[in-house]
Amino acid sequence: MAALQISDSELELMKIVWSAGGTALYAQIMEALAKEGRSWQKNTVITLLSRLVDKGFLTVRKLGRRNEYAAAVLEADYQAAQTRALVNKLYAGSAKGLVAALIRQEAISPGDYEELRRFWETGGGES
Amino acid sequence: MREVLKTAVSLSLSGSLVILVLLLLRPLLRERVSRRWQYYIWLLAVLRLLLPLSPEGGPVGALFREPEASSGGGLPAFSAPSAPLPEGGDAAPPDLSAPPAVPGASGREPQAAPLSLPGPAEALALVWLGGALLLLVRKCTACQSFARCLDAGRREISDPALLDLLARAGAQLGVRRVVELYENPLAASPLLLGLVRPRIILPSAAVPEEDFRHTVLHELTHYKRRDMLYKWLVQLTACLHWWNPLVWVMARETDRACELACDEAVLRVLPPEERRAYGDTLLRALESGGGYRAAPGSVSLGESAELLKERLTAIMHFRNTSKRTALLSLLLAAALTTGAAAAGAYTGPARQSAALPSGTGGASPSAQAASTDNLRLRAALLAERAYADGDLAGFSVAFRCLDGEAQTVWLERCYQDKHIAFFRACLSESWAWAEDSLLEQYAERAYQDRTLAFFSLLLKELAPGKKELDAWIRRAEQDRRAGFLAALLAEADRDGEADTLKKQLEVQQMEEYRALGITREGGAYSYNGQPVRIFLDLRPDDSCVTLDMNPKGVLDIRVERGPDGSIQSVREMTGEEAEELFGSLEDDDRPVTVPVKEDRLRENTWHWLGEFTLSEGDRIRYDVSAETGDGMTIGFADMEHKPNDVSYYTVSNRRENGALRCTADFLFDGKTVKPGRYRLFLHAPGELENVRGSVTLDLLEKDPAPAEPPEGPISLLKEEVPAAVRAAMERCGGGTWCRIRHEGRQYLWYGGFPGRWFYAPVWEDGAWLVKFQPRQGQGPGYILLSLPDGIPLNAVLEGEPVHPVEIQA
Repeated sequence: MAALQISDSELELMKIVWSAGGTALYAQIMEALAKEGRSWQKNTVITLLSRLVDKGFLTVRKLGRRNEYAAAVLEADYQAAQTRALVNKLYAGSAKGLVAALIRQEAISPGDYEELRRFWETGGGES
Repeated sequence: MREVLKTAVSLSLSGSLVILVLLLLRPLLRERVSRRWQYYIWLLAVLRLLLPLSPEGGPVGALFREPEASSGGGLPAFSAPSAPLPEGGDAAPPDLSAPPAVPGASGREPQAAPLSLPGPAEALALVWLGGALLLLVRKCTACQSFARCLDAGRREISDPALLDLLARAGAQLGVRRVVELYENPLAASPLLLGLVRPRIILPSAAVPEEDFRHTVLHELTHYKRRDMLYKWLVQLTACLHWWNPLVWVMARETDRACELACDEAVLRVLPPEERRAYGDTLLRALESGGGYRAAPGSVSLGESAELLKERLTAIMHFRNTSKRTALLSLLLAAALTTGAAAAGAYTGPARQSAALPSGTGGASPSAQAASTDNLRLRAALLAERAYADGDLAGFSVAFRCLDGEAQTVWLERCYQDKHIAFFRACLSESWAWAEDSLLEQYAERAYQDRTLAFFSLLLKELAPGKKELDAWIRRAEQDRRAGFLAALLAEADRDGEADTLKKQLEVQQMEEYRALGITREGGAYSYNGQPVRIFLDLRPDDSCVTLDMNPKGVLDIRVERGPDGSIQSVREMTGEEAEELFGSLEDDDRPVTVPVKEDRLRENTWHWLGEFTLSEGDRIRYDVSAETGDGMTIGFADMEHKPNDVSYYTVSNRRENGALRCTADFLFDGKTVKPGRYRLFLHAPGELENVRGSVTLDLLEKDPAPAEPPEGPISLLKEEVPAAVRAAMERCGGGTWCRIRHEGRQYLWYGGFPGRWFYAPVWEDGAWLVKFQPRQGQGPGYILLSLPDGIPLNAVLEGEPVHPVEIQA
């Protein structure tokens, strides 16, 4: 699991790749960006994509002269990691403290609690 | 060997001639030919210094060949009356006595020194080559550590707007390569690193857009012209001719010429009206770097200010090259090249060229590269400032660039100040304590000082083997240090024992708490019978024993511990303490997003989305749509008035093209409307269904709690409500839930409720959610809540949402 943080703009690109089923050609990414009303420069997108490759979020494959990007991180995994990052930030790694506080404030349902507990026990604890 | 030496000396002499001519020409040509010409013309000197090519009978070549031809005539070459230019002779000696001795030596014992024996000439050659090699290695390592340092603390600039500006600047200059963009507070000024992976590092990305554009244009121009390669070539030359001071003058001059030529190239692509602004950018860059440069020990101020003055002058006098100038430049270059070639060099008796030493490092020997010390100084200052400001990220960046000694000093200081977070940063960022002995000393100290937090940290960092760990465990057992023992057992993966011990400790802890009047029941703490809201128990080193929060508590308490970790007293926390503790959790810079998610908004209702403090410069964005409905209004109402009377920044939208969407994006200018506290609302003039979207607020002044709930529901007795409401309650009857509206308030009424109940209102997604829970015992027989009209209230009785009948009193 990639432990690095990615920026909002990088996340936007990841979402495009994820929603394209995990792989996308550079041209497809540009198209999707245009559809979302993003008119980012070509080099801007290449910079962001290569950062994602460096961080292990994407892998790149040459198909002739075209680049195909494949997500190396599942969306669900990314979100779990984000939760963990939040836990770390707020409660210095003590998910138990966070969960206790959330339950007490009735901010999470028992179902959510179960899910959080499983998340914590199955790997949330690793640093 | 002697041949090589002779070649080198002759190259140096010949090159010195070229350098002197160029230096003499400089004031004459400064304003007459292009800066680019003035920059690249130095290549002539560089090539003259590197390439042992010579026309037949060039003066310098002849100078060296003559004594040899006279076969041991014993005449030192420098006394040869035919020596054409005295400058060469002047240039060589000041550094060492070596060069003049060379010809003398060559004259005295040409046969007596066969190749195998190290004669004085060979020794000199070794000194020369050794010196060159040493310098070159030093330059490379300095460059490397400079680049590594800047890379280590760099942060990606990920704002697409800035990346777009960079991409456009690249397109403008014809740079195809993707150049990376980073910021690092340690960089004194913007700079370009790397040929293979070119990257621009800015001291900060937070500069005006114009400055940013100018800066990247400048750095990209450096990249486009491969100035780094040129600089390396110059540095290599300087290292080879290290004993010739003129060569170092040349190195400095090319650096200056490089910046001036780069400025010129940027000015060429800038529209004329922007040229002044480019100069402003340069000035601002110096200003922003000023804090560091003013530091004692920094020597660069004078020099850089002088260069800047020259650069600004050049910008003021900039004009595009005319044909006449171009011709002059060409003629001059041709003349100088001929002259330089004609100066010649000693190329050996057999006229074969000497092999050139080759090999350069990867990074650029930019002006900063020579000043790794300067970087260290900046790092030291930044570390100091970040430490004082409590800026951990800044501290980490700076700390990495300090030398081992300075890092050790910081480790000690953080330990002394009991700054655990900074101590941790020191441990994780340092490369200085590859051997663990220093850390072992600290572990021992932490154990003796009973600072468990530091001890645990060091334990993790040291990762001691089983033997050492067991020794520690035995010691902790003997000393009855339960906390340390728990940490050690956990580290030793003896989790079972650690858990047992932890439980024991917890029981012990609870007993200690009980003695102070603190009890725990069902996970919630009470102090002298009153529920505790915030319970904080810290050791003197700020490590946490207990931190517990219970929103339903009424008291904030804090346990005080002595230096040995034993409990001294317990006291109530002051408001500031609690704020400080929790203020730090909310230092989030992201904008506040208020979600809007309503299935149905009735006709003429006001949906409240929270209270916010608006100040000048705040950015406010609405994007809310509704599936059915004819219009909606989103806006801010001031606190005193009802929205009907006064409302601000209201955006109203009607249905268009089948969808009802309300979008807006504006800045709060603080002029038409006074800054202050406002309530955000969504008004439905007619019925709205499936309202979805959000309001995003980029507030300069963050509220302590982003969406502070409005006035909550209160429970009342029948006798406390106005008569009109009581009459409406009568009409409603017994077994029906009713919402009665009267004079700006709403009353939730349910008659015929046997027994006691309690309710816990929760502010959630812009509405009060009240869950009624029946309790044992005798109650008033009804439910009656009151809150201001317009604030949504959802009630749930035993898990079932209630749907009250609306009544106007």
